Amino acid sequence: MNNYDIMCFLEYYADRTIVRDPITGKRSPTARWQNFYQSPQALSIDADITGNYPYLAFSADGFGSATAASINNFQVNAAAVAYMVDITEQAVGGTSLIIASLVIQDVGQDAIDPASAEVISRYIGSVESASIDDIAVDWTVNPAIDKKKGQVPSRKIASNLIGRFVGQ
Amino acid sequence: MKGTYSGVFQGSLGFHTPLKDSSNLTAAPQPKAAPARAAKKLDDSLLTGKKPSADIDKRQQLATPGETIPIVFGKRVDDIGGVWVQPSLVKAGTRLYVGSFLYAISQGKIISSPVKYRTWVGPQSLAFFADQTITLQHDYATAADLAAAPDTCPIGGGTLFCGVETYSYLSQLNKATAGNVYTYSYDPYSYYTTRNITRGLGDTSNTVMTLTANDVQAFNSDDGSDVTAAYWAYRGWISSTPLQLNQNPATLGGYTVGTIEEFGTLVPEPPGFLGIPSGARLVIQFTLAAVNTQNNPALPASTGTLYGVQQENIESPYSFLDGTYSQSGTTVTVTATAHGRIVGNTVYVEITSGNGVEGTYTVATVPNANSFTYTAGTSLTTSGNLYLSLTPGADNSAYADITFLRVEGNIYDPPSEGSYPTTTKQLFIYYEEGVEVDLYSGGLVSSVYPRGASNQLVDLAMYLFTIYKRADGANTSDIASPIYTDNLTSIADFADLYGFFYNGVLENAVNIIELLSSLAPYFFLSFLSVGGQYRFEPVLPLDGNVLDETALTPAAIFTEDEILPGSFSKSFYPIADRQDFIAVMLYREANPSSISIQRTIQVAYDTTALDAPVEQFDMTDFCTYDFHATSYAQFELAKRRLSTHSISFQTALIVTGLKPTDIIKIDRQRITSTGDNRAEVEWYQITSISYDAEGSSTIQAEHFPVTGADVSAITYSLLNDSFRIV
Repeated sequence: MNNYDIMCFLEYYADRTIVRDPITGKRSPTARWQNFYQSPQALSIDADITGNYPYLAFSADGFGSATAASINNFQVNAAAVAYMVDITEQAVGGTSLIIASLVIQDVGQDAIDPASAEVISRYIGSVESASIDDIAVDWTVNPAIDKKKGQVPSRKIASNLIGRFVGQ
Repeated sequence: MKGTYSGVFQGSLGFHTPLKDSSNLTAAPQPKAAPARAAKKLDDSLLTGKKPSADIDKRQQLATPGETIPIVFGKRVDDIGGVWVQPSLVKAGTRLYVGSFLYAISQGKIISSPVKYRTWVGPQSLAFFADQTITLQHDYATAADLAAAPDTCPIGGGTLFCGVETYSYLSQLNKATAGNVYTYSYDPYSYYTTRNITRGLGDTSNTVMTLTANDVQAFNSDDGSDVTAAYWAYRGWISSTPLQLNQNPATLGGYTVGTIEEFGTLVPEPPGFLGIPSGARLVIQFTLAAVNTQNNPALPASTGTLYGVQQENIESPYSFLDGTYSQSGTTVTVTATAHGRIVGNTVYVEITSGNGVEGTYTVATVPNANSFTYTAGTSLTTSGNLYLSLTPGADNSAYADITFLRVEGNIYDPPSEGSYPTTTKQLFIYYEEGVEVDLYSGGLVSSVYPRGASNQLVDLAMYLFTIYKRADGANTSDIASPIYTDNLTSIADFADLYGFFYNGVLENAVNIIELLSSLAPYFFLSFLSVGGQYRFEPVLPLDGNVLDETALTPAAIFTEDEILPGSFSKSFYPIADRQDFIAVMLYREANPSSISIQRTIQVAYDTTALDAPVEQFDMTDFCTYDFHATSYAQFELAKRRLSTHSISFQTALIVTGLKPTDIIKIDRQRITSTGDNRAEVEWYQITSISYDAEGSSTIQAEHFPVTGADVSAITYSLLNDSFRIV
């Protein structure tokens, strides 16, 4: 088996309806990070985005695919630096979008190596819930679509839709 | 043996064995009831279902607050599909004895226009009702329409009113039989208009129903107190005051059959009227003393039979709705006493005489309490009578994004002699095309998704996410879409080719993920979460849009070198899931010419015994095509017969972009301590795949057998084996 360096590139979009730059058509995140190199890195193997990802100490877990009905959450655990706390408070609520890319490349490279780097999995979702303490912030990311509640049809017979059926 | 055991049980060897579970020996008590379930029970009830039941000769079901408004989704293509609906009645009204009925059909805008020959009331098509003037209309307003003008009433026609404060109704027939007791009531603090129609057979021109004030009693509905004396005083009666029904003041004889006698409008009484509190009603009860067939001795006696008179009433807290208009150019001046409208109100104007144009208008000016103006779209010089239907200032936003069916005409139960019912039988209506949705199945056209009705599961899925506010057509970026959209057109093409369509009524509040996960297999699809984004994928390999009958190429091959040592495990399915059985498929016939019924079809391998175990699959919610039901049965039978086990193993991080439903091949050596090693080669279909931070992946997969030529054995069996279809 080969040996790889494994890293995660994380993108945060405050509004899931505004993902792409209207001029370039490329993804334009509100904030972004990677968890491997101290110096900012460009995800040059992804032609759909430009710009650098600064370093942030975080772990990411839950890349994968399964049946839709199964629990398939993605967890992010990051240092509770001030701007992460601010972002966390904004992110919870379903309007945000998180795109996490799991990247591997040959071991021992000084920076992203376009020759060997490869996005092997991607997780797209919203921050459904979060917790913060003095040390870390934890995000639970998933499609933020409840799997238990009745959702559709969403219209109900309201009392003022109904006429009076009057006898005497 | 009766009774219950508890404590100990004496075993065969004389030991006393404590009983841990006495459930085999005692009956289970009634389970507890879940709290706050009334609305759910209503939605679940067959009595309020929106799909036609076997009993089509039943009374019309009435809507209840909290009831779920269904989604009618489907489209008839190549004589397959369309949807029958049995809607709830939300409003009924009457004007000049012509009934108006409003039914809640569907969330969203229905594409098909309603037609009489595809609308039934009870067991009869409206096209063949005695009343040939019956009309059908859809009323619909978008959420944006009503957000911009919430006082707009989307209900047209002028006889049904938004809100609950203004309403009209028919009373039962007041029979022309001496001694008959008749009761009616009204809110004395509302405007109250009433009229009578003469019901009977033949000549009734000299027949009058008579009584005196002594036969009339009045009550306060709030406490049941008798207010007769005060009521007589209010009316200026004494006990001997003669009263008549059906008397024609012009002839002093009787009205002829079908004549409508207008009594005008009562205006609201001052507070404290007869001691009746606000919200209560004045109840009048009278007993008919006699029927005189020659009320005017100077005229010949009536030769026909007077059945009685039937009352029509309209009540409203607002100034009355009849008025006059005068139009000069585009300015229309309306005169209606105490109309209550203010500038900016929306009014629906029904023109009853003159050449004015009916429609919805905005109040432009209010010169005084008895008149207002609006601007018409057509310049005219005309005048006449009109009718105003809107409750002023009401918030009608609850009507948003619902298609209502409005029926105007006499659809009451056919009367028996002397009886004029005020109830109707259940209405059923067939739609060739259901709600309008974004057609993801056709792909983007000029950067937008065309809109229309659809019978594609993928369009239903996206529509549900749209009304759940997680998708907005082409405005939603592909990467932010809840469902991966790139393969939706090819999946729709596959469904088109094999006739896997959705034509149904979504009538219960369901969870979108749960619904799509359970529906997808019936469409030969799997509904997946691939990296957090939902995705449809075919469960059988396709060659273009057709089931692949050629040799398969695995998406990946795993050998001993790729499988982490000790991680491989295999689990066989229980015998009950592998034995041959008879699949009973339920589906729903959708014949536009007759109300849909539920049907069954039995499918089994030719070699399966006739008395083999039976398993039933319910596709009645969406399937209207027997071929679809049969195809799924064959798939289920083949998969159960041929796929025997599942596996799980770990491997190094996958770099080949594998996803669930991909076909892989395992080629490994089974090495045992006894040395009977051997090679095992099997094909599998991935069901889940996960990656961990340590650099390994876990794959779970189901056995996916292939033939000697590496063709999918399930596909081969589905397409080539002999099945018994009954």
